[in-house]
Amino acid sequence: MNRRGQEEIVGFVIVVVLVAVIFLIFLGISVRQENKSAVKENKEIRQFLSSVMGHTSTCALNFEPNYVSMGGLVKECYEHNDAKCISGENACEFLKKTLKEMFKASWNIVNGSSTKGYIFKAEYGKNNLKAFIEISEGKCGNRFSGAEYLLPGFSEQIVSEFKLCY
Amino acid sequence: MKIQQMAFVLIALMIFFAMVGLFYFSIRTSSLKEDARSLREEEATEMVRKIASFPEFRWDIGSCDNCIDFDKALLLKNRKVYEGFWALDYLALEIIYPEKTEECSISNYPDCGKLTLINKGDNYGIPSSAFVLMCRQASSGNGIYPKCMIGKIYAAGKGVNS
Repeated sequence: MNRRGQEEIVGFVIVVVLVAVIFLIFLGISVRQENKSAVKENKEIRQFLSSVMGHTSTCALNFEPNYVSMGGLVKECYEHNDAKCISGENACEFLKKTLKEMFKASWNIVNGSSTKGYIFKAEYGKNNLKAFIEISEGKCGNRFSGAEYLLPGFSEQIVSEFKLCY
Repeated sequence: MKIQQMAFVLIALMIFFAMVGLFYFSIRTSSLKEDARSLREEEATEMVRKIASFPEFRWDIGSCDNCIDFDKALLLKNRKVYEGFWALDYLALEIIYPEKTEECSISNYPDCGKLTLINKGDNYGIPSSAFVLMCRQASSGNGIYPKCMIGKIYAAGKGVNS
């Protein structure tokens, strides 16, 4: 009689251990699937990028006051990377300098804040994108929140991507 | 006796599976709460951004959904007929770049960076905000041209706050 009770307990423990193992495997798979999509599309960042590209710069390429927008400067930098503003400054260098100032003014990236850094890239191409502008600041780990903005390019689309790191 | 033993084992198994199920659903619902919170925040941001498309603020040159006419908005500040027009406790526009901190008025415009249109001073919490473009007609030695600057619109009130 005692042996029967013991056998039943052993059977019960085996069932418990099996269920626990299956549950842990299932939990591990579902957590890993969430980590794969570590870059979350963020509406606020998409609005931010759209506003950045529409911002009127202080660089005129042909004549004043025909000042180019930031999106226009990105396009110009892709098509002619030796283009110059009327002031004599290289358009690409001016663009990078202005973008850094805009990002610094828009996002609070200091020690202790939840935002650890950012990465900005302007890329062109269809399948294999190649970056022609890259700006980053701070320390980026595995968690991002970002968005993309598309500009029509000469023969390919230009993709501007901005990611905030947490 | 055997039936009783079987019944006890079955009851123990059912309680065990119920505890496993509770544990699993508590993990799933905690991520659901986070998703619901971020959805509410996104909705509030989208509603704030829609303020930019009101006729009183809309920039009518070119097609730009998120452009605010800063010249028009400055004129609204001093018009008493618009007091209480919108069901908002707080409404402000701010130019982010180039950085300027002064509150805008007729005397210092356009060398200013912030325009507060509504401030009821009550406890309205943290206003929702959205990135927009602040546009105005600027002048240089060679003529007048449209100038748009990256900015933010802040709003708080019924139906905006998440």
